[in-house]
Amino acid sequence: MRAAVLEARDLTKEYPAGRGRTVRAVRGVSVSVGLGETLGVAGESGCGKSTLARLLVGLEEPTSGSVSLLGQPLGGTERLSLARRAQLVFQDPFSSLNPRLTVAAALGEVLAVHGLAGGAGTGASRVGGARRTRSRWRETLAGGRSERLARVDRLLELVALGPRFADRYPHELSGGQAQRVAIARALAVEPKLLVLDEPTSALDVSVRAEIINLLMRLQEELSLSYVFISHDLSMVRHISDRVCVMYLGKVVEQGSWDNVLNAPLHPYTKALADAVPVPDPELAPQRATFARSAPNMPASSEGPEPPANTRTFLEAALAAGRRQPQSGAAVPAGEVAPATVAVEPAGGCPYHPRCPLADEVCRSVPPELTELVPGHLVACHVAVRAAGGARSGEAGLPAIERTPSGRAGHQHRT
Amino acid sequence: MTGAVAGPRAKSEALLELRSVRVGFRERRHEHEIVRGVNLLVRAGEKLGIVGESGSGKTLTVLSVLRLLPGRLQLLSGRVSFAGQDLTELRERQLRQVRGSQVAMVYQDPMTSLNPLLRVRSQVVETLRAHGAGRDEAHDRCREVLYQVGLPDPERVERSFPHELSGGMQQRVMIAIALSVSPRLLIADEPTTALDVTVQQQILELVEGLQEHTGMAVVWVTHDLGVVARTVDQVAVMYAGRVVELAPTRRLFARPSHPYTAALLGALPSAGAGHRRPLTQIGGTPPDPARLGSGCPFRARCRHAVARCEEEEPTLIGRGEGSFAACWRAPEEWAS
Repeated sequence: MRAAVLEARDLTKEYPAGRGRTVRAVRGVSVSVGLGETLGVAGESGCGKSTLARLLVGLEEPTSGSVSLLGQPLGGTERLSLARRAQLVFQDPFSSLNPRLTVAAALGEVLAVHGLAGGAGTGASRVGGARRTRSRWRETLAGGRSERLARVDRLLELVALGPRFADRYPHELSGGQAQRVAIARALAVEPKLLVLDEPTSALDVSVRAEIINLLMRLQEELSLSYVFISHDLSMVRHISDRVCVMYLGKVVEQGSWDNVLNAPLHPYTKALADAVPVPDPELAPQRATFARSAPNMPASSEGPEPPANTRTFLEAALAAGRRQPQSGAAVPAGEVAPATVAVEPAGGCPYHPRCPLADEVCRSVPPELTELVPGHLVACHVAVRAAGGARSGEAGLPAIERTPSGRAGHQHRT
Repeated sequence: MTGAVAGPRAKSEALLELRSVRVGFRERRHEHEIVRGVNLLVRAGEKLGIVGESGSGKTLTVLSVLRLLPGRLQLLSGRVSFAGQDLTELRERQLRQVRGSQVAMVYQDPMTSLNPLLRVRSQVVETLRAHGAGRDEAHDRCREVLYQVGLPDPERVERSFPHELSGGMQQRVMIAIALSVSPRLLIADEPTTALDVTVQQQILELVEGLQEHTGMAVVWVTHDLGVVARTVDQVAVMYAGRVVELAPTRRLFARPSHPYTAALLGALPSAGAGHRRPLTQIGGTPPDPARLGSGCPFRARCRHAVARCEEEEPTLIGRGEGSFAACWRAPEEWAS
């Protein structure tokens, strides 16, 4: 295991939701990121990914739990020295760049605030960014203007933009160029860790590849650590060393990218991975076998089952249950609630209302994150039982077959 | 789900046909083109995908079908015919009969299409009444279509306001409204882009199921190649206001005939691409459709460009197996 750059323990963040209720956006999340490592965080909207991002860079105070960067706890450190170690890059570069600052000004501002070039101290130049006009900016720049401009050029070079971009305003940039500037701005303070919150989601396909390639190159050159947050599983798969999957504020599965995405143990991870449309029509027919179940119309014949030897325990379990992990019941049947608000089920596993494998235990006891394979953690009763069964030498999936009745009560009306 | 253009389907009637459709705006006497001559054909029951990046003109192309172009954008020239009828010649009132009842549209963001002040029921019923249903009939049909699109509790959804529903449920309501009058063609403009993948999957499955059940034709507009791979029979790839490749889905993904399509496919991370291997970049940026010179609009970003590409803009050239590409060079001649 590489030396940890970021270590978050048992992070919880609660927000008041009115009438004395609270929404727990992040619930007991522990993650760590090693030097030069990429941790991918995947999950749907409302799963707490972005709240986690803000907690990791100290933009939000956790309700409980702790974050430490390079061995130092976040709580005690000064905001600025912290910002130098961990930077956040947002989804939409146009809303995170000030439309009234040129690229050079946006980058120079960061250098000035942190007193990184040109000598101006941190205190003196801490001016409200939003209000500053260009003339005001010139004053701030006055000190080490040439040094700072040279540094701006170097930053632009780092993200493969020429010095000609220095005098442009955000509206003169394409989406990809603007995201490069946003990355350059994050790198200006020479951080160790970048938390990337959906950095490619707002971009066109051809530009996504550019940004991903840039991020991978920068990581090599500068030995950066990344937390790469995305709902796009194919991007997470491509760039991550380790992956954690979040559901309703909790980590439900965590491990190497290969284990988590190619041999998932949690039914939610499987459902998420299966939901990503693959740009290969040859694969589409198999994936569409449960397509007919969504509309309330006559079902057509079942598709071919995958050969038994390539099945993971999950596939076997789901086949035994005659159902695919279908996300059909995004909200428990009969309930009308916005999916973007984390509505916790009354008890048990947070995923049980959508889970095709859920049984009585899942409905009452919340599962713990358990290390089933070295380095591969999952919070699922069914997976843990199946692993236990396999270890004691029993064939097949006794743990699952023992409770077939548990599923029957949970058929989603179709 | 069988062969896209070959076979019996080739004989079935043309439902929607676009001929040399040009969309843009007029300034003094000058015409600014954004969609620069698009030809498309959708037969009854067929599924066509229109793929392109932002600014490629894919949305404007489909908006021109029902004369829904925003602002001062207009159909500059070309023919749009639906079931043999030239839509460009219809008066506004006549066109209204086609909208909804013959051709329905579903847009990207359901929250901007649904009226936030009206309950779902009023909005579904309003549509049905506008198309001639009686009050009782409309109410019965409303519940029926909400049930058909897989909403778990139609009675409750009916009474809800849009903000009380999740994004996926809102999009289901939009689809219910679109399908309530049994259109022969559904135009879906990025209907799943704003949704989570699991919800997207449900919506795709829903439309697939409904399509198979009702036999309506579908035009999917999307930037997501993964979505078209599983959804449509034929794909039209748009670039700088033109269709640069048109091919049966399997053929397009297996052997793209236009360098732009090939580049787009190469830019996608896939399980087989190798973990953390650099993705293929296209490089450069798409040209401004209003300021195109002569020659192929993709030439500046193309690795296979030759002298001819500078001079003359290619039109669609047959490359076999129903595939057409607007490229002077056959894939066999591409630089490796």
